[in-house]
Amino acid sequence: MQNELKRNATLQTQAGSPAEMVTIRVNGLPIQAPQGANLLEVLQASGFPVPSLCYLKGMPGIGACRLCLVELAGDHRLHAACSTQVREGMEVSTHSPRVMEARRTVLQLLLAGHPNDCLFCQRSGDCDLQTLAVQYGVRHRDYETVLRPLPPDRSSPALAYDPQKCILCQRCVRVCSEVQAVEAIGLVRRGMRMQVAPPLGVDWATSGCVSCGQCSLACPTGALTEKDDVSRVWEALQDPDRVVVAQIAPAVRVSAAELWGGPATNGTPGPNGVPGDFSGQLVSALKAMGFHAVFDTQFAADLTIMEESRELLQRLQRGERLPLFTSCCPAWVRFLERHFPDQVPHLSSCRSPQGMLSSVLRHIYPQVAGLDPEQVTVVSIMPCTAKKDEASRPELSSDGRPETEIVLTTRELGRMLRQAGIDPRALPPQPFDDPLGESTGAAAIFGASGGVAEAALREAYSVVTGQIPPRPAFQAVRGWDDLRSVEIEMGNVTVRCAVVSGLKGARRLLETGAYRNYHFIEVMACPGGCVDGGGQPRHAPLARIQRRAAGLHAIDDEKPHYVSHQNPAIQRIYQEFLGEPGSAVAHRLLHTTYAPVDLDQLLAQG
Amino acid sequence: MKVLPLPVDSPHAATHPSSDRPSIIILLQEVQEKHGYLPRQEVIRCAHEAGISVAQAYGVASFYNFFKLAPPGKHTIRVCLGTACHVQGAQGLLQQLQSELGIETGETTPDGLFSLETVACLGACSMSPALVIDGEVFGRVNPRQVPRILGRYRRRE
Ligand code: SF4
Ligand code: SF4
Ligand code: SF4
Ligand code: FES
Ligand code: FES
Repeated sequence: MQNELKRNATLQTQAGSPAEMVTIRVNGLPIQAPQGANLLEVLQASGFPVPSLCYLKGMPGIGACRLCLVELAGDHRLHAACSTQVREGMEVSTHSPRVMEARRTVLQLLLAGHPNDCLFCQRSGDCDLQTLAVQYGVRHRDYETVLRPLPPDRSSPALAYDPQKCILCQRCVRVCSEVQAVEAIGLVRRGMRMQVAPPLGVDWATSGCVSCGQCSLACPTGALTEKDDVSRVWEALQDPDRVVVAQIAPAVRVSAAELWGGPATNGTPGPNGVPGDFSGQLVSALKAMGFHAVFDTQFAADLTIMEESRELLQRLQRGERLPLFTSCCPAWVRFLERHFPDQVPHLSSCRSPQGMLSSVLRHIYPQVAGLDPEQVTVVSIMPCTAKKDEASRPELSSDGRPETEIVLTTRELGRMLRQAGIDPRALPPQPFDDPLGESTGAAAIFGASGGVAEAALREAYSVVTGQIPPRPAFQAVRGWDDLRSVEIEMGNVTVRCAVVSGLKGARRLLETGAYRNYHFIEVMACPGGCVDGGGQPRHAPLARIQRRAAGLHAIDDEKPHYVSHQNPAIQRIYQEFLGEPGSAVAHRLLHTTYAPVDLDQLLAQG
Repeated sequence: MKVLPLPVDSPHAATHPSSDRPSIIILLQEVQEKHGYLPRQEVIRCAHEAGISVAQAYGVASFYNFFKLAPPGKHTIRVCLGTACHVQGAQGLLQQLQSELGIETGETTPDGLFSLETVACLGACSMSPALVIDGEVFGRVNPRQVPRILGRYRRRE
């Protein structure tokens, strides 16, 4: 996604002026394209969707999978379109008999190393390799199957890797290093034992991986996926001794409908295809599946803002541990813990909204609802693979159970509802359960990059000036660049705030020391924020991700309350249970601690 | 309320400037000469020195056969791939050893017992296909005999 942004920028600014347009012929048809443009992208955009497995939009082609082969007039070799630049007068044929034959062979060779596992594979129906096999009419294997003798790595609480399904396209490796700058994984060994892995033989869980899941969005096959927890939810729902409750994150309500091929039939999409709020249908669907109650993670986003904005103002006042880093993105938290442990003290001590709501559900909700706290089982529906990792943190357990017992990504929710035979689009929307279902607009925007900062600034402004900021305020922090910053004066307080989208920007800010210029920094590990989280529906082009964000901003606009403390349910929980933001009770229930480690030592020990 | 967009700090990617750094291959070679293999700690140090990620450095170290990622095993198995042995099916023998030991040529078994190497000619062409374990020559080896041969060394433990 981030690369798409970059590519758009470079296409326009090459040599200071738009690239010269030239004419090429594709299968005899004249096509206009910028000189030097990537041939594969040009073909795919002009009605010739040449297949590709290793190409990543906006990054240089590496020619690893050989599926995008095309024939160029006057050249006896076939060329990988992804590594070919458009030249004036070029004549391309995308489906000559030679091309088709070569592509079939490439596909057959890929399949020769691939298990016969589609029936049991998480990606079945959503797999690029399977789609190609269907498209090319593969009905039998031309070569004997030889599987590489490599065991799966299921060590990570967030992701699972099966080397036998891996086609070595390196998309994951490039996303991890070039988009996220985490550099946790690489291709290791050679020949029959080549696979993707963290270095030095360590497993995924012991590595520099921060569980962002961006690699799992990019993987074309079932090799690298979210860890599938669907069956654990079924088990919980079938257990008569449990009361299973759910929470739904902001970004899920603007993306989940895509899993059923489009916006809700009831939830009306807005202008320009901006997705409507799908949460009402999801609440109905979850209830139909057997959930006792469904709450809104956005309630906890308001709670986060209450706590975090106070923490910011306090640190500003005392001038200590500035800048304050947001802590609601668990992949960013892991990134700091494992890659920049010295900067961990800058992190806000606030739990993520998921962590806060689960804590409230385990410690306060049973009293209110007259339930046995032992029975309450929290399932959270997240756009995020890293939230699975977060849920497994020992600090976020109580009575020997993770407070968030199971985390389902948007994709898993889709699979689960399909298994259950429920189409949420057709269901009448229901509101979230009270009282942990109420939220302000400030909470909705958490799911888009800049949202947490915007919400915190709204709240800080109200605290400092005693007034609600007039809408729209602080929208300058919104946007799609990987690094944005603003200076804000409110009363006699000045806040220099930076917003970082994607871990590459975060690494830049930290390695150069530029982070010291700010008071408050929001970081979302996924480029664009949770709207393109590692657990979201795959194959989303930038425009769709931007529409998801627009959907969240539209929800914000429609909410009667603009600032978190205006949420009546928030006011009540402080009055009845928590006291003041930052109180001892609030600290016990809503804040957490971190565990910085020396990554080199971790890797050296193996 | 005043909201000023700030110029974004865009320091050049400090991440990994590479041109003036030493090549990872040369660094790893030095380590291997000194230690006979690549200790984990040293791979990490080389990566930092070369200005690349540990994942990349390990990718290089694990790609080339001449880099050893573990100290040599207690017993070194050398399979002959010379012409005579090749004709007599040395490849099949090597593959059998690889799958029996679960390692590739140039590696050491996780228990540290065996390392596996290949040589060009052992000078035992009349006994091809041949292999040598710690100086002891085994001739006319049938891949099916591999478990028994390995078993002899395993039992001695
Ligand atoms: S989850 Fe993120 S950090 Fe981990 S390997 Fe994938 S891209 Fe890299
Ligand atoms: S895990 Fe997926 S993305 Fe990574 S190399 Fe294998 S097939 Fe490609
Ligand atoms: S940006 Fe959002 S989806 Fe991505 S890792 Fe962070 S919290 Fe999860
Ligand atoms: S997409 Fe061109 S070689 Fe893979
Ligand atoms: S070729 Fe094998 S011993 Fe000579």
